[in-house]
Amino acid sequence: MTHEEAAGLLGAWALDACEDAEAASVERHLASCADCRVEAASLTRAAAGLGELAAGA
Amino acid sequence: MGARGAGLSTSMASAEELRLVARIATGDEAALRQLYARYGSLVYSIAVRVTGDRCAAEDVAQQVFIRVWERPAGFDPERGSLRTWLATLAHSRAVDHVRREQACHRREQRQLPGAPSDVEEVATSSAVAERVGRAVDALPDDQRVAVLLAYYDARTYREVAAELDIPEGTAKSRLRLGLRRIARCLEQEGLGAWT
Repeated sequence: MTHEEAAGLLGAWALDACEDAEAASVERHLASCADCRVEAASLTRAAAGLGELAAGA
Repeated sequence: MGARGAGLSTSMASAEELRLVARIATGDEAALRQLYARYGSLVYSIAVRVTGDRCAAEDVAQQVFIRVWERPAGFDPERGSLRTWLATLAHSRAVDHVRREQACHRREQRQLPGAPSDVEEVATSSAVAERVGRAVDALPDDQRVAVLLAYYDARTYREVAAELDIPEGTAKSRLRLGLRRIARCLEQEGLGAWT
């Protein structure tokens, strides 16, 4: 998976909205790309925030 | 940020949706039943994900369809499809419900002596929830509905693309852009470091 492909999937990945094989490819890319790791961390926090809304009840 | 650009044209209301809403506006109950048959499960599943409570979700779903029945003119076909509107209504009603519950919970906590750490925890998580709720509300409609479907309705981006009848690449980028905006809102409030 190229950097562009992985970066394009980060939003879907953070929302757990990728196919398993794609998620695994994204994770392999993250292991070697610091830029994507930074964005992935930020998007994951945002996704966790959505969970906070859901867990608020 | 170009939310009304070319991407929206694919999710604009169809002539059939306009006819359905027009029939509802004339008080046609069969049209309301048809709307419910088509979108009831979408509305309910978003409400369940946000509230985490089946009973509350049923109330929310009922409120959404009552609202459509009473104020069909609230539907603006220029802003997106019927599905987008209903998903947005479901989300905002469900968030309102969660906020009311939280306010109620905070009042109860205040009456209890002790347990300061609990109060603090509730306050932090509700600050995040509050901020996230506002960030979601502020998203462009096309990004909001994609994020809601992916997260609260547990769809993959491919399913989101099929559901909204948009290319998969568009679905991926709406999810990424929407989530980025939410992340930025949290970071601006100093809540980004929260884990």
